[in-house]
Amino acid sequence: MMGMLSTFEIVAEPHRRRILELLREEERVVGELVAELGLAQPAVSKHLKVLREAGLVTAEIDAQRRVYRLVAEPLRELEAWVAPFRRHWAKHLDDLERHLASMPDDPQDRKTAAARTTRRTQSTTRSKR
Amino acid sequence: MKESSKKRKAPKQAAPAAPLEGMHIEVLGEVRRFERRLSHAPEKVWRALTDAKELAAWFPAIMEGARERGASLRFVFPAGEAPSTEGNVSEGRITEHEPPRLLEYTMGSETLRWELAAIPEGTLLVFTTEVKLTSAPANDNAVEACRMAA
Repeated sequence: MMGMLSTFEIVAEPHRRRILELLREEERVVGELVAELGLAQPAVSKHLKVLREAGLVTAEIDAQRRVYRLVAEPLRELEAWVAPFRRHWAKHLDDLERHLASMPDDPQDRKTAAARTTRRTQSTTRSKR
Repeated sequence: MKESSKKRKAPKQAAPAAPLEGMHIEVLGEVRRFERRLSHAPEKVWRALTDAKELAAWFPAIMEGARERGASLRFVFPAGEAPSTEGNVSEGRITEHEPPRLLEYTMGSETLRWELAAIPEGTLLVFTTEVKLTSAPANDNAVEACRMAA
């Protein structure tokens, strides 16, 4: 398994992202990638070397040509890392506040929680000490 | 109650948009801090943060495991809200557990810290969440190659 840092740095480079996008559609040989990216072949080869060493693509020799394919697994690790950033904590804290308002102050009173809700103003006042 | 609630967001650090060659990973961590004044006693807020029945009403995942320092946790998320590699489950551990003042635990790559202080109107809740990379850069060659190609 490779580190997140590597995946992150590697995917941050726009040309490498473009290569990954192209490989997502179908496998390609270097010549096709050179044409699509509009970069010189040595530059494309360097990017492919980085992607290969990071395990993001594989290269298979087919009739003397290297065919590049996408490997999705490291990208899923990246996705797992990014996921917490999408969590909406402000919303969850709003939900917490709303739930607190419906909870009984005394844990023994759980069964009467519904009845308590109507007297919430009173109990809130009481909790101010 | 709504008017008295306060949110504060720490400034976001380095957005991962630009090329990051040569940058250290620490800057990719993000800390967010929220502050809420609650008109409920700390003991009650503590129950809302730890009791499975109460958590079910507001927390984004089901939190399984003992409620004590060092305990292993398992978080089960509803479909669509979990990191895809982990399925619907994230692992974690309780790192601080001092009822009813301080609760801290990890949830996947995220660290959640809940600090409760008694105030005249009830509880001042300070919640911080930090996302950290859990795995070290295991493939230094790739990073090096990445720098050279840049």
